Amino acid sequence: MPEEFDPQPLDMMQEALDGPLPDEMARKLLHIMGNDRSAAQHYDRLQRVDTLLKHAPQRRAPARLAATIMARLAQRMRAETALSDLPPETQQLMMWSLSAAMMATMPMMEAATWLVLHAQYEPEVLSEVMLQTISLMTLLTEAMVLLLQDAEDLAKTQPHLATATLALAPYMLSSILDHLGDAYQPRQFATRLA
Amino acid sequence: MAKPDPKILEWVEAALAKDQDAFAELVYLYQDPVYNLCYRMLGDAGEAEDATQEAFLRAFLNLRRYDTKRSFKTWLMSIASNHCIDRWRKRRMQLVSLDDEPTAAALALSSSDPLPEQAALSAEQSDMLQSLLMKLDENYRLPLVLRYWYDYSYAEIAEFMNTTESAIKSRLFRARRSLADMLSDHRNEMAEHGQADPDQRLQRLASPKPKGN
Repeated sequence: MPEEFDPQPLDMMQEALDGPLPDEMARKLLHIMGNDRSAAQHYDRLQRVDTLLKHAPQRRAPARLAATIMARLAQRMRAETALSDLPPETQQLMMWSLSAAMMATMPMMEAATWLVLHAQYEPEVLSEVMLQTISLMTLLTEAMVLLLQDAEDLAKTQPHLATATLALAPYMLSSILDHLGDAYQPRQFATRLA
Repeated sequence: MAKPDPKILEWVEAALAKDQDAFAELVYLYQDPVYNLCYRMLGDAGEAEDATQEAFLRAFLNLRRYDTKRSFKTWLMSIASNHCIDRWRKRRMQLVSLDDEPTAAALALSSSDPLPEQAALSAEQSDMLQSLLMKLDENYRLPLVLRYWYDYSYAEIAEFMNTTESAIKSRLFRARRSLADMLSDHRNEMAEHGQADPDQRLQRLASPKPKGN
């Protein structure tokens, strides 16, 4: 944009787009534009943008959108109702199991955080650490999601089995970590960083 | 900001009591403005649809937080815009390319094409404008969308975005300037390729008519 003219006219031009300027200001702006070609050109460009924006249509929602929203809402409410219908002790057990499952991942999370923090000045190690840590977290998250989905389905018909499923979660996550012991090498990284 | 009318408050109250039909009334009433906001912020019809669904679900789940002294529409739109900004930032982090923008030729239709006074832009021109909007930072795009598609005042946009009126004024000014520069670049490109001046058609759009909500 040409910047040969002082900034005040720029503000006046913008304000003119939002509504009529006071007479004095309008006269001043007209005078400036009459004597400064670049200012007139700039105002012309702003007006074109303003015109484009004012004529752009409102996008209408697709016809099925409201029905889809209401269907998702109904599904969500059904799921919530199913869970809230469980006996309080079952709900508590499920919460406990879920917490235990989360705790099973804590040592790994802690190790990953330590490695990332200490590897940040070692680009080669950092990229390896990040790659392995992200893969591992993705795997554990997906495992948790599968477990929770199964537990939710079971909760509707056999709430105690759902609790049992969740209770197994910490062991399952630990097993995954043990199984991956060879692939994920926090100790090796830690030695390289020491 | 405008206060909600009693009918809307009635639907909100009923929705709070888990009346899905009442919430459906709110969905039908506001789906177009929310969808348009999402589309303007995300630039993709499919993503806008997902974002609109998510915005309404979040609104339903957080209905207790709605302050009935304020406009329901504004509250709903702020949920939608926050969600869109989050989505946009995630998308940017994933380095999704925006290369599939419509070409500058979209605005370069022949000046002999029929275009009645005060008509809406053609689909191509509209897509072109949208692609330019998507090049703006979200902090500039949102005030522009609220100003031009929803006719919000500076004060209303400032309240919506939790900032000052002068900050909004400055962002709007910069947004318009950036768009003007981008349009100008396109015009120059077209001139280099010996094509007609795309703005010739726009000049025929006299006395622009602001859009309502």
